[in-house]
Amino acid sequence: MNPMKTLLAIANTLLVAGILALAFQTASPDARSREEVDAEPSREFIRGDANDDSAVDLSDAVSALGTLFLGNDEPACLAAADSNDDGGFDIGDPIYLLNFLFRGGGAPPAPFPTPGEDPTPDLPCRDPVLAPLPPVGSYGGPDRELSEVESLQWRRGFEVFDRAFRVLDGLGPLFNGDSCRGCHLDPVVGGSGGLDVDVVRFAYADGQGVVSQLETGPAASRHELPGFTHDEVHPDANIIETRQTPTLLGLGLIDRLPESVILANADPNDDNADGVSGSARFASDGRLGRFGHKAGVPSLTDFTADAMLNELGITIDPVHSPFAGAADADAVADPELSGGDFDDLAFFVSHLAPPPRAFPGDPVFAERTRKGAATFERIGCAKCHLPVLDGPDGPIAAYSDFLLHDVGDPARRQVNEDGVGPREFRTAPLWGLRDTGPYLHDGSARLVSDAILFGHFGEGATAKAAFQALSFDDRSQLTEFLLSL
Amino acid sequence: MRAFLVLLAVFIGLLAFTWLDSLSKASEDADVAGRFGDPIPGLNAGQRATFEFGRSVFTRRFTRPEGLGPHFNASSCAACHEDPVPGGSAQRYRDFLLVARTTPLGGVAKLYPDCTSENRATHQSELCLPSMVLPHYGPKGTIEDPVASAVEHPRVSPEADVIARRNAPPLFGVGLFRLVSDEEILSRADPDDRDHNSISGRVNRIPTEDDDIGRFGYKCQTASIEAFNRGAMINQMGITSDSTELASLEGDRAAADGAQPGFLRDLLAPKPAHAQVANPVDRIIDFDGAFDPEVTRGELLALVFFQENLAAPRRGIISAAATAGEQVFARIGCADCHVPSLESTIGMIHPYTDLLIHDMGPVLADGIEMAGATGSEFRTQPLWGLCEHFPFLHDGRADTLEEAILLHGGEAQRARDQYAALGSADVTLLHRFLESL
Repeated sequence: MNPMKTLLAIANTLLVAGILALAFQTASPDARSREEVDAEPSREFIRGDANDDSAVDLSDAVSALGTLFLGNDEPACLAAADSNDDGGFDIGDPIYLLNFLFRGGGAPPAPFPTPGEDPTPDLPCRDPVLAPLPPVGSYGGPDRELSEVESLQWRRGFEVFDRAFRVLDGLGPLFNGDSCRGCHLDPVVGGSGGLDVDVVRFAYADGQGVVSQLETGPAASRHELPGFTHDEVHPDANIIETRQTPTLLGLGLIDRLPESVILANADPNDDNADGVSGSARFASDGRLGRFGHKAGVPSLTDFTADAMLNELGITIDPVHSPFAGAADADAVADPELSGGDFDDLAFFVSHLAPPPRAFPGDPVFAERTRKGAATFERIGCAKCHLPVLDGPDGPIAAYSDFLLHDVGDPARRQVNEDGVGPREFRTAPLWGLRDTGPYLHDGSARLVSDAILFGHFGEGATAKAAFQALSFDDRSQLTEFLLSL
Repeated sequence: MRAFLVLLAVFIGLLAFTWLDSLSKASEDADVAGRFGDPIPGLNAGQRATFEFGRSVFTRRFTRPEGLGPHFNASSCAACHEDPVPGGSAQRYRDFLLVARTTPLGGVAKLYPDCTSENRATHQSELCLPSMVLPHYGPKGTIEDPVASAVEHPRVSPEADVIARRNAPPLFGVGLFRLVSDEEILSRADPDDRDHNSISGRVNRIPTEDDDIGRFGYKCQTASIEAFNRGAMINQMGITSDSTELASLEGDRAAADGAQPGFLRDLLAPKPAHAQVANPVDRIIDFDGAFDPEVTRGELLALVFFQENLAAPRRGIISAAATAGEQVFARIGCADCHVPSLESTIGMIHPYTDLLIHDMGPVLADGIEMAGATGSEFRTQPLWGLCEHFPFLHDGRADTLEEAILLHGGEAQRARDQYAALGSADVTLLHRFLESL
């Protein structure tokens, strides 16, 4: 056979194969997407609502034009973007919508203006793709099963928690962080933070040891906006402390505890003569204080509003909380966070699950942990670090009575709050202990045993002495128990 | 037979073409892009293991007993390079301050230039700071007695008259800059503005033995990733390390003249190749009670390897609008400094920088001088990965891209003015392009 002919035959075959392959490649995605359309479960929507915000307005036309001409993502609900219901999403749709909105043109066909099923199922209407929430009760997950509406609010609150506030959103003028997550990040969003996100508190102690606040306040912010002076520790300050970021996980359960449950354990005059005399602190409006190292904040909403002001410089309408900052010195109009956003944020924070316990799987270590827990009760730790509180939705294992106790080191000068003794501290909840080191309010204890030794004087001295008298093995078991929390 | 010869000729031609093609590979795109946090493609299993070990050092949270401090801003590298993954940038809450004072002879200097190891040890409370970086946290008690004393909070000294803010830059793809040749960078330098386009980029020479060209840092102040790491570790975390190069040098010297190793090392090797300009001879002792060096040489090498091999940001699908926007970008002169492509030893990379320092005018000037860079000169910031970056500029002062562009001045004044004069359609296209990076 003529070699030339063979060559031509081979070339021809290759050409045909190539064309076929090309044709197949071009055709196949179309074919796939058509199958997807058929399989797509339709949902209710409002025709014309291209950006899926439950309202038909100018922003829908803008979003449609953005998709068509600026290369933006296609809307999840194509059927809603098809304003004139002609079975296709094209330039005619935003024009139809603009005509309707501004020139008295015809309204979009049904479903409009209330959401409904598509009477002419031609285009798909997908749900926007949402990542699944973490499982209930897991680290960083919600504390209970949330309804559909609630889980959307939880997500929105998460977004606010994670949002980096910009100067034009009202950040500052003085601030320590530009998001909640900035400090509450460990081991999950909502948790605690390391030494490197500590905030600074200062005060002045005179020769007699009387501690007083200096005129520039107790806090020195880490950052300031351009044009504002760096917030310095007052030059006369002779007490400077850092404050660890507390974990927020599970605080919603504490928030929902009836005051009577906490007050039932108060014993300010030590009537039962056990050397431990927890006292309650009340805010100026009479509510019981339960949050903060000195129990100065009555509710989680107040705690959130307070942090928004003092850590981020974000103002909130004071109807939400007496702790909210109504106005600040930056150029952004107050309040800088809308009431809706704040409600979402507060909802998210109040429905973060408590840190899950880490029970050792190994039977030997499980037994040691159990023994450690028994020792914890036996030597008197559990008098203040109550293993169980009766919450409205079941027992709460926060290991705290949320009362003030005189436990501070008498040899040490400490920053003070009005109305509370300098050595009085709220019993720190111990749940999540294994992931919140270093310990104590100022992070000065690297180890659990350091926290026991350096943080427990006065009312805590008896239990500490009992701890020191334990055998090495008993101490280890106690520590292992604490690190299972 | 003739046909067979033709076939042979075609075959040989093909071979020759393939060979020539492989020769011209250098001008093709380097395969270095990946998702944020990925290594560059093509690492073998051992290299990947080193990369992962380096990442674990990068994310390791140091504690005081392990050597954190005595002064520090962060407890891990990933604390400030966290967004969206370790190796990225950080939001404003991680910003830090550089403080300095102007000298009578002009120029700026560290506040305590005469600090020696000895008076640092004895006068810790006088805040004998080793660099311009102002730490937020100071010493607190001691290892033996952690609650004995309260924190010492470093304050901006009254002597300081230059205070500048810094926002953490992302590290994706920075390792590739070491593969860009000096000639490639110098080819765009135009210190005397001979082409009269009012743009006069120049290189920042680092006072090392070879006067290397600086490529890293907001002012191109560092010529090697190792130097940058060691500088950041000691200045931001108080973590000491021995330079891989210094260690061997010091060993040689100790062997040669019987000098006491360790203590005198600060004073030796005045011109190390891995010099950090802010602190040419990085301290290797920090008197915090932890044994120095606080990271091993293996950890340091892995840490450097991790950053050298972090993939460059990968661009997604580039829309028509983004392509049109890039033309606007070039037309108004942005691309004169934000050069789209640089030739590296492994192919073209697309960082949108010329790795030169430019005078950015009085609005952006911060008064900080580093090696040859004056107070108003800054490196053209690479724009790759811009879609995941916030806030903008060296001090994070800009909330939005528009703000960042409008704050350009000096050599960029003309491009900035052209941007300000653009029609809204062109502005939208330009922003589509920037967001696509």
